[in-house]
Amino acid sequence: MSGRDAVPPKPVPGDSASRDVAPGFRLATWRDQHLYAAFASLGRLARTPAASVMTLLMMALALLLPLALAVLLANLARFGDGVAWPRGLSVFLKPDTTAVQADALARRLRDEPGVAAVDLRTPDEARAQMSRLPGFGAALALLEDNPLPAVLAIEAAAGTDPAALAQTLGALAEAEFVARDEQLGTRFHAATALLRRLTEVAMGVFALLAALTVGNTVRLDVAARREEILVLETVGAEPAFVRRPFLYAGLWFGLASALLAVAAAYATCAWLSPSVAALADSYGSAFRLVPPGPLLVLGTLASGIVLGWIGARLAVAWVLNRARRRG
Amino acid sequence: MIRFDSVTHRYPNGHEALSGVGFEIAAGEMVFVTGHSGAGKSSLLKLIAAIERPARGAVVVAGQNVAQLKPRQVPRHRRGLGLVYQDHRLLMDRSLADNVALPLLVAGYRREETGKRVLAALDQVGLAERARVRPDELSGGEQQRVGIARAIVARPPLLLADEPTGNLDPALAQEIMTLFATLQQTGVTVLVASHDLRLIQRMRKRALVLERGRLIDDFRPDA
Repeated sequence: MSGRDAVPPKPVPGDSASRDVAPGFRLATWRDQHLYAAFASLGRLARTPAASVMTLLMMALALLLPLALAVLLANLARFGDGVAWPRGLSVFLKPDTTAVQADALARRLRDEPGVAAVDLRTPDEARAQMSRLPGFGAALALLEDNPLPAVLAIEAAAGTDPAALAQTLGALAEAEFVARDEQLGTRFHAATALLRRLTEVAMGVFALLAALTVGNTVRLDVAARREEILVLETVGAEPAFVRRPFLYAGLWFGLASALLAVAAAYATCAWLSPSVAALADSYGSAFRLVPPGPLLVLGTLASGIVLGWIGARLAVAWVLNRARRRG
Repeated sequence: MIRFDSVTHRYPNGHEALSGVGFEIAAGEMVFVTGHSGAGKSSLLKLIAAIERPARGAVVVAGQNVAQLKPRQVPRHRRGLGLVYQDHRLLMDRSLADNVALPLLVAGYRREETGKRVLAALDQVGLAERARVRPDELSGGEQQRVGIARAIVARPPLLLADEPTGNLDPALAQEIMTLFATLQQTGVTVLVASHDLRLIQRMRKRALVLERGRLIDDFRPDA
């Protein structure tokens, strides 16, 4: 009780409540309070390692799935850009069409206004081309007759509707069926567009999941620290001061889980890369799997931080408002 | 410093904690609020601290009607008071210094100033040398002194204490009251809710006596 008899300092009316302070002082105070909240929240997360790691892993998974889809999309787009998609039509002629008839038909079609070019591939040429494909040469050698039909490779003139031209060509007496070669590229791009939509939906769903995960953890933390919040409120803490450590907790969860998700995406790409390269090489393609780019990485980190913050903000507001309503 | 004008306070369950209570307390006074359990002592302090709102009447603290404070003005109002509770309300996972520093932290004091004031407040209650220990290593009386250090660290002009000696033996209770009297001598207005009549008599201070929410006596020892 050394200081018991000492004369305490005189109180200053409004000393702690309404001090006029310079802007620099206010900024330093603001910085101090944020630093306190940031480190205090980190300390609290470290004191509950099991719960923190579970939340972290759950949130990282929620971020990893849309990230993986985004990486897949980016690689598919690169693959699509590198492929020279066929833009013509192939008219497969009936087996009983003679070479003379096929040649006459080719010449006739070259004069059609909707046709830019016609290339006749005879059954022998088709067989020779096919036997150069790996595995097909031996199979074709076993056949006595050539089963391949003559084909007219047709390029539609500019401004011509390929679908209408295909219908016209399909009605020819010599035509067995017409294949629209440009449909391969169209289908590929349509599938990519569908995947992009699915990725967007997945992003929304998993963003909600990430926010709910962090929100639930923060909700439990707020409930467990109700006594501390009451003390803070009675000593005059502003609502923002009370909320701040929880928001930082959400922010740390978001940042750490986003880093984990990015690391997992890089590791997965590195693990898959040799297999993808081998597959591409076997098709004579130089395609290589590319990991997430800087924009995707930054986007994932920003998303993690924002989602963690939003989840924590909603949880804190919900728990505190409910507690206040109950008195 | 404090004025109650015909204050009535009702809890949501309909219980009327205070009925038409009126009094004035001048700045620098030390006043006891006494009465049996349920007389309305704690409710009176809660109204001053804006923890509760009156159903009728005005609670004026330092010229400001507390009942009319907007929610965003309440924290600022509370930073102008020191609150001491019977159950101390200390955070057991923090050191004494961290507990005492809370009002300064929320008020935005710089670290250096906070350190100085915390040590001064702990010294005032005789616990400066134990600043780094946690509250659960202290006795009940020592914990109460930490609660008082936390209440006075920001040097508020008004100190409210709700049964601060309720869990203490008579000697410790007397020590705490002497500390409050010392604070009063420095100009702090001190309002203590207590049902310990013998202690109040020994202190020879003004006492507001409540019974079932009504002010039945305003005892002044000098009168």
